[in-house]
Amino acid sequence: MASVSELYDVTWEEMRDKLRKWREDNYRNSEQIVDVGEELINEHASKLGDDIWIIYEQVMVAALDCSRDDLAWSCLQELKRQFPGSHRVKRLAGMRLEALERYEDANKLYEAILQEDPTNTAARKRKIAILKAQGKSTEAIRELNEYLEQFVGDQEAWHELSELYINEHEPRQVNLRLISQWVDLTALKRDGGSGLSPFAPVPGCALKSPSSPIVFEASPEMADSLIQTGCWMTTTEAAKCQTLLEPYPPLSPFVTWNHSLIGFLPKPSYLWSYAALPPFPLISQLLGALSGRQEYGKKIILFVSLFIQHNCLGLRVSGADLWARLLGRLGRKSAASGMLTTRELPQLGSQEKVVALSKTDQEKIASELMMTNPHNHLYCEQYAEVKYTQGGMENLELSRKYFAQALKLNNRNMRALFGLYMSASHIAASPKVSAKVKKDNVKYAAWAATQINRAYQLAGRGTKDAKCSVKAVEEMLESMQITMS
Amino acid sequence: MGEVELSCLAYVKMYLHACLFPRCSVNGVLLSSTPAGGSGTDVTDCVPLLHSHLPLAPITQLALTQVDVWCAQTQQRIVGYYQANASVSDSSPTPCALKIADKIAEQCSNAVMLMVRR
Repeated sequence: MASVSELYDVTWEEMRDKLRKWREDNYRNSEQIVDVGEELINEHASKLGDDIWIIYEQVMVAALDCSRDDLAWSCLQELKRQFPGSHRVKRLAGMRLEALERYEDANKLYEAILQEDPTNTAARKRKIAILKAQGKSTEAIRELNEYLEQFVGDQEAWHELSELYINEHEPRQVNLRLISQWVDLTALKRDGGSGLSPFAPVPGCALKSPSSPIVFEASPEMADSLIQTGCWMTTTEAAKCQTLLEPYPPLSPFVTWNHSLIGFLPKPSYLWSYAALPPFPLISQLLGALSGRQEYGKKIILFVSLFIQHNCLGLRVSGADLWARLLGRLGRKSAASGMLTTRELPQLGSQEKVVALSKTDQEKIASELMMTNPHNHLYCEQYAEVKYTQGGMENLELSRKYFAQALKLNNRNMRALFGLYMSASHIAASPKVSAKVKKDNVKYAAWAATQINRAYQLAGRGTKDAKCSVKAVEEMLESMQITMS
Repeated sequence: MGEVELSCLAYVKMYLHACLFPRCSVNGVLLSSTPAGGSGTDVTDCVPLLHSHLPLAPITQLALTQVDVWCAQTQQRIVGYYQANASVSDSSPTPCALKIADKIAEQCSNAVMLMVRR
């Protein structure tokens, strides 16, 4: 079999840089990592210098994903030899045991790590992942909640919790997710994308037998045709993929390995197309206005901008203590960077009336979510979906607002567009609303319907059988209209 | 309960859909182009639907409506539902699978629910 460097005509430096890029962007393209990494390790180990250790780690995790126990074992041995007694290496050994479904041994290993170092978050996350792989979601949820009480800012953990709750059909609790410490300016350039991250479990059984995994040999055309026939029905899914800036799903610290190995197909390229985010008009204006003011850190700018956005949305900010916590965090951070002191912050706060909601923690945290991570249209839209699923007039209205917000953040989000249409139609169809609300919602729904039709027309240009799909969407929109009156 | 016949196209599509997303749960509906009546169910086609957040309502509702309309256009009917769980060890139907399958069973006698084992 030809080596990667021959197939793609790349040098070892390019391969190393590619691995670094995948590592930094946290991609889970394990087959590629294994191919490239294995060759680097076997052929060019001496030239890599100290980089080799981090590459061993990266390749080992990817090898576990692809059930290459031989490769994983050899990487682990090298790392053990170089870093004896390291917790990081012990954690990798634990992950290998998990992939082999030896959960008790893995648990013992993590317990040992936690005894020596109780603050080791990675070991705690792995223990939770073990519970998930064993199917014990209620325990996993409980452990994760305890973890999050201590480490409130861990966005990945919040995301994981929300996924667990969604699968347990607890939409109310999903609001708890997505707390993030602070909005990173890089979030402006990329979506978190974690809305689509597969937190799936891994195949332990396949690793038990070192024989090669079952790989379905399908041609790219077949895979493509599947997507063509299946995907126009789920255009929203495809559109969501296209709005992702990341071509691969992210690797999370909660990755588990009891999923199947079938499916290492060549991936159709257009599923991974980049979509340029339109500029957020509000934020860019604001950045323009404040960019001259050197004393403000970038984070303050974002903070201010999200206030204005929330004014538009009519969101109510929850209790004063939440407020104080955020301000305190802000103050600490900016004090560290010497940019802004807490004294100046209350001026920002006074723009927004702080209304204490008498709701439960979930709502408070949901507001905090929107305050701390306002740029991620995927989170926004997912939250809206949860609200829609919960049902009830108030939730429907909220969901409509959040769908609108998601659209504002990214006007190519088809799911949000459809969601807006559906929530507006449902509100308008309900007998309990006033005439004015009904009229407004009919207007929103009509607008959304025209946008949807337009998007499908644009998408269907050039392909013959898209006419069928466009017609289907039109009829669907009409049929939903009928239920309204 | 009559016989269920699964066409090659439906089988391959389901399989490929599961293959494409090995780490996610996937679901979809099963269609039949043969007219209603008769004891068995003849599944001739399937439409893959979701691979993320299966229990959430809006997209599922949307997708099912679209499939309905398409079926009316192409003289097919929805006869079933399939789901492949992410976990290799657990292929029991989830609550959302049961709900959707119930809904489908209301519309069509001899409805089929397939849990795909990975």
